[in-house]
Amino acid sequence: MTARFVVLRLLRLVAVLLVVSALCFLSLNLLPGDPARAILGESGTPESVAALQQELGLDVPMGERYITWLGGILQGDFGRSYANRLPVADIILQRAPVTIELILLSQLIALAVAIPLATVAAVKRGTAVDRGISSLVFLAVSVPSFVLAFVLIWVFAIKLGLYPANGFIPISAGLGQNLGSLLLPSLALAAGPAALYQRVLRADLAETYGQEFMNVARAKGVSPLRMAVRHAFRPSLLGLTTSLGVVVGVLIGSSVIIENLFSLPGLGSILATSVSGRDYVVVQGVVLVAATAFVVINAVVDLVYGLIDPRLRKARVTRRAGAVPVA
Amino acid sequence: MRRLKVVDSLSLTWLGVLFLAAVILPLVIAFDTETMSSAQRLAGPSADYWLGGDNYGRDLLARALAGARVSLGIGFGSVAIAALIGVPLGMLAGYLRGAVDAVISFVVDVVLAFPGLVLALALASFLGASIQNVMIAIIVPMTPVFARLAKAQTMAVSGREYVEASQVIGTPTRSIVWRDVLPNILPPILAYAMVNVGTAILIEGGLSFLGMGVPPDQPSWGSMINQGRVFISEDPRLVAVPSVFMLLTILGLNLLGDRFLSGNDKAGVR
Repeated sequence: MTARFVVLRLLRLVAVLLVVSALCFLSLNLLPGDPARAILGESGTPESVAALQQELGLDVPMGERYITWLGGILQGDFGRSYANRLPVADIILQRAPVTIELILLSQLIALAVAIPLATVAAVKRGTAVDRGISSLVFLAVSVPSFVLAFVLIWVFAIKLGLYPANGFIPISAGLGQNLGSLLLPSLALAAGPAALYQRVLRADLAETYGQEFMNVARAKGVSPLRMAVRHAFRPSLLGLTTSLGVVVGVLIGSSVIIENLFSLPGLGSILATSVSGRDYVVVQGVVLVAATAFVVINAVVDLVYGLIDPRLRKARVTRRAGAVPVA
Repeated sequence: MRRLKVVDSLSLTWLGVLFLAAVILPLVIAFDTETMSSAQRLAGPSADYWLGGDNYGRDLLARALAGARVSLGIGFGSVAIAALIGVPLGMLAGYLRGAVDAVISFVVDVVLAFPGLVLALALASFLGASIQNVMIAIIVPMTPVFARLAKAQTMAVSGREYVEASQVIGTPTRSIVWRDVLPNILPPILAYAMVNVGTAILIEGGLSFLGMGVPPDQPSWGSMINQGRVFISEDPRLVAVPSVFMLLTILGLNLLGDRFLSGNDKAGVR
């Protein structure tokens, strides 16, 4: 991983982000007819349409408008919501922590489940244990997050009455309660990623276990636990790291549904609300932030490969071309 | 990995029965998905309504099968279109490399910069809710995934002796790509396409669940779940029936895709 490689990646990152922002900007112009009229819909009087045209700067040429808009975004001006006139930047800043916490929590759960299961399956590869885990994983990878969410709600909230079906308790009311209110949604989100991580890590671990140095370790009398943790784990992390970045995209997407379902005040639920309320400026802002976060996280993951596995610093191996889940 | 053949047969049987019931059966008898009857409101399974009635007293089984028609149609249709666009682009990029590759890969990177469901939701919101727009909302994020896969596979195949041999004897590029590369990258792409049909059904379900998918007058699994969610404590059946249909279908497609892929490995392609 040379400096040249890092610089090229960064340039590509900036180029992708510029085009992404241009597409977000253009999306408002993709609306049928005049954007101002489309945004205001039936309720638009000629005066309010004219005022909005002014606010969107529709009288200025498109290229110029994009530059002004991008300049505004870079200074934190995402425009205003048409539902409540609040600045979109404030809405995003207020709601982002909920989504970030939800995604982090579900990643932690997913990894905490997947790593032991993958290790056990790889050590016992080919046995009934391995097959049992892999069937379970197949089921988990096929359950839509919202279907799992309904099962969790039905069991824990309705049948057992252990848990309020929805609502969010802010961290200021105590960390325990806050995490408690995110537990079911995180579990619903975590199942799919956990299954993906298990499959990827199990495959890499099984490959590592077949290598010479593992036989040497076994011959030396290294304990099975120490072999797994100290010898096998690190060289088997490539696939897991790669999928970490991909899964972030899946989680951002599923969180739209899960936040909506559990009434969590995050970015996902505001995206769903704005989409059905045709609050396009909010949609534009949230989509731009989600895409930017996703791209940057993946770029960081790309750079982290080299740190985990020194073998990759020289030859750039990309393993990401395989199974990339879309949602 | 060794796996029971029973599981594969079960997957095939489920998908086959679903296909017959959703696609062939309507040609013979018309599903009654709309008649509302107060006697069947939230009623349990009976001889008339095998899976009971929904909150309007409509036949849940008829609606789930009509939903299968919509969901399977959108799933297979959008994946087929995405593959037909994405695979040739990926093959071009992987075989020709250079500037063509740079342009295609950049476009792929840009589209994949948007999380899949977020892009689908944004597209559906800007385009408006209809079956056609749901398909567009699925095709756009899915096409670059096929392009990326086809490119990687093409690059792997392009270095093989039989491709080099073709190049040496002066076979035109078009027939190398068509006759030597395509048949060899097709099996993994088909396996992946099968898994992606499941993903497409999932996205359709998610969009309809959020009210941005298939219009409410056409039942789909996602819209049925969305309608039933209010009644979850009263009668979880309204959510459970379409959920089970969706889950079994995605599971079946994933299992078959996986079998296809591993069967392929065993043939010694790797």
